[in-house]
Amino acid sequence: MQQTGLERINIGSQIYINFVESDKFKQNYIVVNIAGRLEDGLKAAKTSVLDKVLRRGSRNYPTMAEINKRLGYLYASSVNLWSFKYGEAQILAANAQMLDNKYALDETNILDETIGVLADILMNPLIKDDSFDENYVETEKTNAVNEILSQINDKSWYAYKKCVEHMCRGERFAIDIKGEVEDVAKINGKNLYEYYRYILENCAIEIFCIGRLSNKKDYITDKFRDLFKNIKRAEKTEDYSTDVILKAVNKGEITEEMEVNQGKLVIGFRTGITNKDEDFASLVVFNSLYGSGITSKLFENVREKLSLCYYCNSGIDGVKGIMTVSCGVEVENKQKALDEIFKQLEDVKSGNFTAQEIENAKLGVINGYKKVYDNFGSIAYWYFNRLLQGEIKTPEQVIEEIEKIGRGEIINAANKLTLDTVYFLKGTILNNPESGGE
Amino acid sequence: MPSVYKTIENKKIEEKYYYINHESGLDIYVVPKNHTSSYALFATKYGSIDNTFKLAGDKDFTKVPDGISHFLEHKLFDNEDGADAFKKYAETGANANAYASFDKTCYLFSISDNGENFDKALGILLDFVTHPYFTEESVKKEQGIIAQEIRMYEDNPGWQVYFQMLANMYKNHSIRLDICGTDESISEITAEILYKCYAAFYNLSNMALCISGNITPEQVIETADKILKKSEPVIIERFKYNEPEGVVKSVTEKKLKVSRPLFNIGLKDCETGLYGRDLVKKSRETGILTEMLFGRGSDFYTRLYNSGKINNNFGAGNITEPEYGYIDHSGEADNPTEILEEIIKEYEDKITNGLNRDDFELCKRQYYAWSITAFDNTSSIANAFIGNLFLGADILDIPEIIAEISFEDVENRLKKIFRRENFILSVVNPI
Repeated sequence: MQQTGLERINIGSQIYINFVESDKFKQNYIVVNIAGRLEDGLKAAKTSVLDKVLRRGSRNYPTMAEINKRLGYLYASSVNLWSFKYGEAQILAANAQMLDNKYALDETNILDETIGVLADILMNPLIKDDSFDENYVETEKTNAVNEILSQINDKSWYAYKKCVEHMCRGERFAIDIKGEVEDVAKINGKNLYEYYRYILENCAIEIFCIGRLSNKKDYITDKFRDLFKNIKRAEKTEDYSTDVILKAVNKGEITEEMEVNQGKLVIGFRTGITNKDEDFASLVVFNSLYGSGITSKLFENVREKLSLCYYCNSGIDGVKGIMTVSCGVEVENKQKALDEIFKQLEDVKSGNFTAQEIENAKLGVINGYKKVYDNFGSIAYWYFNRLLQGEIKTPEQVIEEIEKIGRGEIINAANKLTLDTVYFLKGTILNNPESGGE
Repeated sequence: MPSVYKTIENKKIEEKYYYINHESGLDIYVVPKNHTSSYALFATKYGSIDNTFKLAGDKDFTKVPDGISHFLEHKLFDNEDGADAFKKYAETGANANAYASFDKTCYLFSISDNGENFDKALGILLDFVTHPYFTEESVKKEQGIIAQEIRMYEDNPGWQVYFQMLANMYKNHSIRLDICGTDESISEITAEILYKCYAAFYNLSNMALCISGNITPEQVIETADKILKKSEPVIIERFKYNEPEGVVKSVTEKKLKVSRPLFNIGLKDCETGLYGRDLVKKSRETGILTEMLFGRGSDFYTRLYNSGKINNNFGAGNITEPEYGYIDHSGEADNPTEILEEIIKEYEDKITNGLNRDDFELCKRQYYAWSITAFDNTSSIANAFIGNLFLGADILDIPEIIAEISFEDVENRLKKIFRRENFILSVVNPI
């Protein structure tokens, strides 16, 4: 494997720039992650509106059209801002993706110029009297509200989100990363600008640069160092750690009705293991064997043997220490599916699986980790994830841990699971044949 | 005679591929990349649009149940020895899948290995796709799974608003049919019909294999030699639909559980019959036009976004195929009818007042960049390779084809494609 690993440079208080050299791509990739604490709906809503308002215009490119035309001219470079939840941390991310200079048809320095646009959007916003442009803020508040509401359009996502909300009621993990509609209403140009200043001063910042950048490292490092030099950084940045509940309190079954055709079942467990624990690799292999992927027990039995569904799979959130099993099923078959999902889990707990299944599960996981190198976004996320966990490991190092997992470790991981919540989105369309259109 | 390969190269963009005219009759393409994972795509030029066909010796066309190419895609994973292909793949670590589209069915895997496990996985792929095994019992069982897949799409508003557009845009052409079929149509499927469709379309002369990754042509030939048997070409006559101008219904709506209306606004393109380079050129001309009019840097996007009428879900793109084509404008809006009017106004304005040359240069530059960044990912390379191949085009020629496009070409495209009667508005409203 022709990988050089991570080069990490400190450029300010809790600000790091990280390079991973790769010659696989025709593009270079830069992402700036600003990591704070997931606190409440208002803070989440501010982050969501902020990522949108920043993208609307900066001092040198005051309108979205100017930003987009400039990026188009730079051989379709892109700059995107978004926010996401990482356990109980909330991350504001800004990335830039650009064609390598060698493919330019003229003298355009795509790398320099694109970094310039990214820097202007992120660090040189359009501000008047300590406030963002109120017109921009108002439009983006509307867009933020629509984003919150439109989560209902994707039924399996909606069911997952509802399950987690019930399961983690009272925990910060239940906060919607987009905030609530009433939170968005409280935002204005002034308090948003205050918040913007606050996160620049108080949140850890991790920058990743992936691509053919070996002879540009100093240049890029200086450029980013310069960008942050006038920010008064706090000595201690926000604590973005996640509180973990190791053992579930069984909250029983929750059913919600909706005018849809298919029922969506989501079962939430506490895993008792997080990605900071030594036995995390056991949990990953367990999850592969039990429910992720097309050779898992869930696919094999709930779908292939019983023909109950098109999809049935499990997924883990290693930061929060939860696992969810999701399944789209005919309403009348819900109990059958539920029984089979639990039966398969009991089978793994009691060691009822073959050596071949172990090998397959491990190979599947390893295959996935090796693929990290084939996508610049995955490389950046891999190392960001490791940094937040507190220990930098390469995919190869994690693969070594996976290879050591055997039957006993899988059984142990399975037995640490505790059932928390069963959520069922019950489709009612069959009862109301007129609804649902033509 | 052992198979040999040819090297085809585009030095400017530093990409090449090896072409193997395999003795079995299968065309094989290897696109070398130094990525960790390799991706293999075994495809047949057979999709949901091919529902009526005739083989040599047939007197009449046979019409098969809707959704059969997709059903066949599911069922090919079964093997006579009882072990499905997924299970076999699992022992190699490959991540396998398949998909059926309007005009092709593809079987694929990706794997982070370029040695023994890759060869094994490739052997599995070539073997199960060339060895059908269907029984009445296994067909029955699959009907349950596919019914749930159909239910899932019924609840997917993005899918619904799109297929509703196609069903009401096309009067005759089979593109108007849902790829999965319906509960009724899939209940008509039997093992016998599956075998018949298989025999017609899964002939190696109607198929291609593309591999992208750190793989040598020699190792691919070795596996292909072991698995593939020589097959004589089958001549398929596909029914030619006569598709007139105009749409079935210019406005079509349905209600689903959504937060606000979703829309697809289609502009049907009735100039069909192009193939190969000409088709690719036309497709990119249309793409550049759409980008100029509706892209992120356009006046249209800016104006409607600033007024809150559209959000960043709005997008416009084009489908340009030999037998059908359209420009698709989609997004969410409180008042989709207003967006339709704005879109029509925008086309009319540009026809009257002309396009802007600077915008053209800008959008052409973007298309050039996208033709190169398409080579960053092994799965997109293989999929784009096969997509172009089945249209008679070569992925390595695309940067050059884009370079040939002139301002006048795009102006002509605008004049040809714009017809008021070819617009359709498809909406999914909240319940």
